[in-house]
Amino acid sequence: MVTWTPGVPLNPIDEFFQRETVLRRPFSIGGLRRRGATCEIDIIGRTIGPGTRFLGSMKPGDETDILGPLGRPFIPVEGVMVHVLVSGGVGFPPLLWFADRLQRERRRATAVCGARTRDLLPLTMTAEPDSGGRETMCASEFAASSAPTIITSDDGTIGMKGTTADALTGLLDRLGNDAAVYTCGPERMMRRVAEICAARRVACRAALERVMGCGMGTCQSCVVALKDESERGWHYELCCTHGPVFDAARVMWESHA
Amino acid sequence: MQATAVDLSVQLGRLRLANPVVTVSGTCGYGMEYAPYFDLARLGAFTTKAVTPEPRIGNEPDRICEVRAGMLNAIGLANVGLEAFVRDKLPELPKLGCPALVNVAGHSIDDYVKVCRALDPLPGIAGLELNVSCPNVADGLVFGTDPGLLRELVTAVRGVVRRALLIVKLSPNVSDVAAMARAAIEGGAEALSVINTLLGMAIDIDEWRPMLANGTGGLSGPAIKPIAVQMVSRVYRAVARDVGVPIIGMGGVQTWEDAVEFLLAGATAVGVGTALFIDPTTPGKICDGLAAYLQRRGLASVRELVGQLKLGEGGSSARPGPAAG
Ligand SMILES: Cc1cc2nc3c(=O)[nH]c(=O)nc-3n(C[C@H](O)[C@H](O)[C@H](O)COP(=O)(O)O)c2cc1C
Ligand code: FES
Repeated sequence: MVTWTPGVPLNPIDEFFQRETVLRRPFSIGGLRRRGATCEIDIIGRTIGPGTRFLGSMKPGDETDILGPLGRPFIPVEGVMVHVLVSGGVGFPPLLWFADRLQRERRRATAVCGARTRDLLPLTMTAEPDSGGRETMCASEFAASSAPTIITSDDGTIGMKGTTADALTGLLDRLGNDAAVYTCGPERMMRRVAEICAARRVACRAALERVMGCGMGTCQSCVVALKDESERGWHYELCCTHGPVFDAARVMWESHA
Repeated sequence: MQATAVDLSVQLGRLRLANPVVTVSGTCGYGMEYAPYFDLARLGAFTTKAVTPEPRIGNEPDRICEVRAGMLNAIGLANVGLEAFVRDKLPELPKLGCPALVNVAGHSIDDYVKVCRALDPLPGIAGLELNVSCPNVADGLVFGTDPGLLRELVTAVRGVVRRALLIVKLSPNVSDVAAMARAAIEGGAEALSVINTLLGMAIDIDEWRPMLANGTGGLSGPAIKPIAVQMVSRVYRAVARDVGVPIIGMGGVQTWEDAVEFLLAGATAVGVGTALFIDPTTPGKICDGLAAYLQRRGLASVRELVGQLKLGEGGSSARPGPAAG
């Protein structure tokens, strides 16, 4: 049911809320464990501005306020042999969540995770990944859902030297394109992934990131341009309520690769 | 604390509101978007996103940007247009359980007249609010900054609005907001919304570009509250009080204390916008806070606060121009 959750500061933070940063921050849910009346949610992010700095400075026991789950999650495409989960940088949490669902539904998943360099790979390695771009049970986060993982790095300091697009191409070759692809990460990377899939007629779903004011469909800030049959050839949809997962073939990408 | 012990109802011209808290245009969708989070029947009134004669896709993203104690937006009046509004959105309004105000925008007098003429006779619309002050469309500010044009616009719309309460929403991007208020009232406005967003800009220092694709945007949130309070006070004292035209005060309201400031300054109702994005239950919290405040002060009705600011007529809000040292 879940992929997208703006999480937000409230309590000790009234001060902060009233004087400084005013808006919520969107996060994907990486994992969720129910413990009786409470539930544990994994949120993974990087500090990039005042809001994430604030969230990062919270200590265990501090109170906050979450609005969610919001939006529409990844849904498995039917009739394919393998579900391929391609992430770049800190884009992997929604795919982790999805890997768990795929495992529960006894579907086969393979993850492809890329980073610029070894130190920026946000996963826990239990074994050195294959440098030839083969999937192995090397990343504990995905191994927990029985998904083997291919790791790539731009500089070759970990896994295969190259991009997730390179690794995906090899993987789809080996699978004879009998796969569906789900991706989350930098828009430039998702665009490459979408192009590879389109050329091979492989279904591709992308979880997009947009600047979000509300997460509830009221502020109209989070628009994604989607191709359509109209005269203009495209229209806007809201990332927060209609997305964040879209059919990648319909997306008009913002980044020009 | 029993919220029923005090009377929160207010009279906005011909409209009776159960309480003074109103959600403002562009921050609460067309109707039921916040229903999963908050009982909208608890609102004094609800205001829709702007409706223009034709659908508008709005500006390119990025459309918003957070700034200290506020945000900039340049949505560009993205809306479904009059036809789709009447077909798809209007039937939803009765589900709100509170009076619905429809925000109307356009590029010409004809645009406003067309939308208002179409909407006025339709059931479910308690008021029409003319947005003459949108800073995010090419000529959006023209009506909002020229008193002569504003009077002409309101007069024209007045001619086609018979049933709904006619509200004019003023722009703060003027040197004397009272002159605009006077023009709106002379044209036939029955209530005034004060204020819309202030024109602003934020710059990405890595890219040397504006943060918003549109370049500039409208500033909202707590950052603008003192300006809004001043403008409400000014409009109230200089124009609205004497002719009995009620004001919906808005701009940066987040707490019940903010609401009290606006009421004291002369607002009959108080609008909540940007704060809804952070917490859609804000209006209920403000009502509870207001009720408790009135009880503590031994007041029976929220109406006893309206315009009670103690200010000599020579005070800064009686005249335009700089007064602070
Ligand atoms: C995202 C956004 C969209 C808005 N759209 C409209 C609009 O369509 N029509 C209008 O009259 N005002 C619009 N406004 C202005 C608000 O109604 C309100 O006047 C202003 O934001 C000040 O209140 P606040 O500080 O509580 O948000 C918009 C404001 C925001 C933040
Ligand atoms: S974030 Fe506000 S409409 Fe999507």
